[in-house]
Parts: sequence; C-alpha cells; structure tokens
Amino acid sequence: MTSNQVAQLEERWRTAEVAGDTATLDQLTAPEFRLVGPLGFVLTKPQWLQRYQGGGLVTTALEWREVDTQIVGDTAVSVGIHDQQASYQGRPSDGTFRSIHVWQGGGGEWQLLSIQLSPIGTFTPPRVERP
Amino acid sequence: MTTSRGGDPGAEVKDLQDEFDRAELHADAAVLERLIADDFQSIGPKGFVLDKEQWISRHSYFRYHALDTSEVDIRTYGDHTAIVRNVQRNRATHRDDEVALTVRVSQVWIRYEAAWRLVAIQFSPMGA
Repeated sequence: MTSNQVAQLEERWRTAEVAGDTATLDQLTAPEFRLVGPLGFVLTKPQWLQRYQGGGLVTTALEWREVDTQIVGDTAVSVGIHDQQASYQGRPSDGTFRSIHVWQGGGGEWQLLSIQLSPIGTFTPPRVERP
Repeated sequence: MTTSRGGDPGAEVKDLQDEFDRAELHADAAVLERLIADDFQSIGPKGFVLDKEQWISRHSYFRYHALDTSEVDIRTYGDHTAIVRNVQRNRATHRDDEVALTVRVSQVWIRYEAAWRLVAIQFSPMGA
C-alpha cells in the first residue's frame, strides 16, 4: 500500500459521506470501526452508518485536506483537516476539525478502523431535539 | 522494556499504555522517548498538532498533577496494530494556568519488529 492508494480510499470515503452512500461506507469500514466525535461521543459502526438513514444527517460538502499519511506494514495512519458543511435533524452542523484516520489491510482488503475528530479552537454543537 | 505476556498483544499493549500514562504523569522523558515512534503525531483537544520532539518537550511547560483513566477499550488487529481508547480526567498546570480536562483519548500502537511503539494520540473534549 502506498500513500497514493490510501488517498484513493479516502477519496471514496469522502464522496460516500457527501452522497450519504451507506453501502460504500459499510464496505470501507471494519466491523470493529469506531468514530470518536468532536465532543467525545463514540459511535459503533452500525450507529455511524445509521447517521444517514431517515435524513438525520445530510453532508453537503466535505473537504479532507492537509493530509499526512504514515504507513507501517499493513497499517496506515492519516492526519488531516476535516471541513464539513452538514445539517443534522435540519440544523446546521458545519465544522472544521483535526482528525486521524486509521486504516488496516491485514485481512486483505484495506478498511477503516477508526476516525476521530477534534475541534480546532472551539466548536458549538447543533441543538438536537430530544423526544 | 519489551513485554512478552505470553504473546498476548492486548496484554502487552495494556502494560505499555499504563507505562506511557505513568511517564506522562511524571514527565519521564526517557520512557516517552522509548515508547513513542519517531513519526508519531498527536492532535490535542483544541486541534493543535505536535510531533514526537514537541510532545516530549511540552513537559517543560506542562505538568500533570493527576491523570486518571476510565472506560478503557483495547482492540488489537492482528499481531501488529492496536488502538486503545479511554476517558482521561486530568488536572495539570499549563505554563502558569491550572487546567482540568475530561477528554476521550485514542492511542494507536504499532509493533515495529520486536517492540510496540505509540504512533498517534488524539484528544477530543467531552461535551455535556
């Protein structure tokens, strides 16, 4: 695996987020995948995939930039800036975050193990309606 | 220290994570130098990025007074990759300011030939 190949996988992830393409996101992530959000919450893979179901999350633009990828054996670690324009339950959820992606190819196909987002400066989360 | 723990990667990484946390608490630069990979990268709770040298040298102006971890989740992938996620509650002095943070931390460990090294650490502040 080269940095360019990792970049191609990340481009598939980025376009799948904007398209709300849960089938591709499912394919790109390992069963043990976890997302840690900018306020420290943890989503399992099923929870993460479910974000796009029912129109809860709509990502209209996503930039993944200033990416630095290190590859050690069958593991790749990418550090970059995740810049999103999105809404959650109809409320703006735009944000710019620093993020680490961990990819692994031990099982043959390379898959994401982890995404974590950290706010740059301060981040105001969207208000969420609770039933 | 190279751990063996009967070849159980999860147990080896747990020992190393504990050693790393103690070294952070006590600003033990020699241990941090040994445990951290040369191409290490970190992302702090406000998004700032430090490399290995910057991480270790930050102990000249940053000192932990308490560092407690909970909700520890150690996952290994094959024999060479592990991710440790936990919640860290800390009290520290940053330059002249007292700070207290609760953060979700992920640590990525990779085995380089004989020894595990920490290649990445990331902090996200815990929201309300």
